[in-house]
Amino acid sequence: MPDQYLPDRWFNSHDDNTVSISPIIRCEKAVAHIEGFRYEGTPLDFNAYAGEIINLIGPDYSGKSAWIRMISGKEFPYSGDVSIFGKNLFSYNRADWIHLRTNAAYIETDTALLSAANAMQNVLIPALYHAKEKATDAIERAKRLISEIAPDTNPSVLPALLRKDQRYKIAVARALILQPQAIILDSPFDLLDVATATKFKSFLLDYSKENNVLIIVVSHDIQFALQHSDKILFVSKNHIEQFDSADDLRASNNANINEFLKTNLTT
Amino acid sequence: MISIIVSVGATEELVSLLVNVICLGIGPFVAAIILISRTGSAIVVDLGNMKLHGEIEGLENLGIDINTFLVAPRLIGTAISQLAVTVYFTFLILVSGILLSGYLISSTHYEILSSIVSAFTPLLISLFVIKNLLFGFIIAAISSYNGLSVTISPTEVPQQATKAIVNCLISIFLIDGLIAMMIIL
Repeated sequence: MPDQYLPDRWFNSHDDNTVSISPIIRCEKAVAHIEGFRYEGTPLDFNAYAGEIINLIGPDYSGKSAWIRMISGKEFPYSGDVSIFGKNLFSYNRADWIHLRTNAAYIETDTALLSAANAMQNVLIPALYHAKEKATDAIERAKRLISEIAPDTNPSVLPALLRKDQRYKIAVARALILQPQAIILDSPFDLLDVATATKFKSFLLDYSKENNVLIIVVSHDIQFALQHSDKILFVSKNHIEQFDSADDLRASNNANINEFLKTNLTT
Repeated sequence: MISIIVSVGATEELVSLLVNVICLGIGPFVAAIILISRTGSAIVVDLGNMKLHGEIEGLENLGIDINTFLVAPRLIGTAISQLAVTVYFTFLILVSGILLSGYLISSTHYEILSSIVSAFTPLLISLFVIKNLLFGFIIAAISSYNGLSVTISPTEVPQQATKAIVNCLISIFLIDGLIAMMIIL
């Protein structure tokens, strides 16, 4: 049944009185703007639902970041349609954009923090700005998020004095304080050492499970992608090769995918 | 000047002249120049560097409206600063000028102080406040616009700062002239 807290447009009523949940993100024949070359391969048809974990993998310089920017609604598609939260990006009004950015967190590896505010203030700013909860509750949640995601970070320190990986983790905490329904991360493990990356991966998996949050990740960790993804989007320079489960990807006859998996799983 | 005008017995005209020239002319203008060079350039560099380093994009990614979060406080703050600086400036100019003239030339000049208070009519005070708030608002708006016009290169920051200072000065000159004309007419 439709949830009273979710907008009606998320739900499709059918003639037989059954109701199905709409995808959070839907791409229909969408093509991303890719810097440096013109993509002439097959357009992307893609549905992403709450609670799913989707990984984008593929060779370097294949335009994965461009695809994830389009999927996250950060950029309009070059052609085709992208709908997020049930509405086409091209028909978004100002309120829709604010709703999108507060409910679908998009975090790049080099996301900058506010340099004049310390780590705790950075995490708190979006919560206080959007006033989704009381300031005291927001402070408690900010403390909890920092201790879970960035336990090695002093919350009273300015970003300039933090390491790159600490800044990244604070950026993730800052996005999560808004309790988004989708978290879209571009290369989240690249800055982290092995131990920290493992902890961060477990956090993301648990967070998605506990909160029924959609997580989409551009990952260079193929092992993680194959083990934990509900679906994997394999992107190469000229084609969206496949959008399937990890098992289907492993069993694929596609020479590019086989070559990529062989190379990356043996190194 | 005080000495000459008082010697011909035009004390009332002197007070009116002093108050009008200093409160509506020199005071706001000098304060605006101070604010353009100090606050205006700081706003451009601050916002320009924030844009350059991706801090603004990071905030926008969180659904934060830059106009309400970064620009509006600067507009309000600069307008209030302009008013406060002008109040200090005009007070110091008026009081110090008269005290100095009373001390150096004639002690009768001290009497001008008491008549100055009564020269502040509600119309004068309203014009004083409106003009200063408008100046501050314009300085912050132009500086914010130029700061946010920085795109990808650090060399754009000083270029935009220079542009902002020139644009602010031109705007202040023009608006000062327009207000003077409106008062005269």
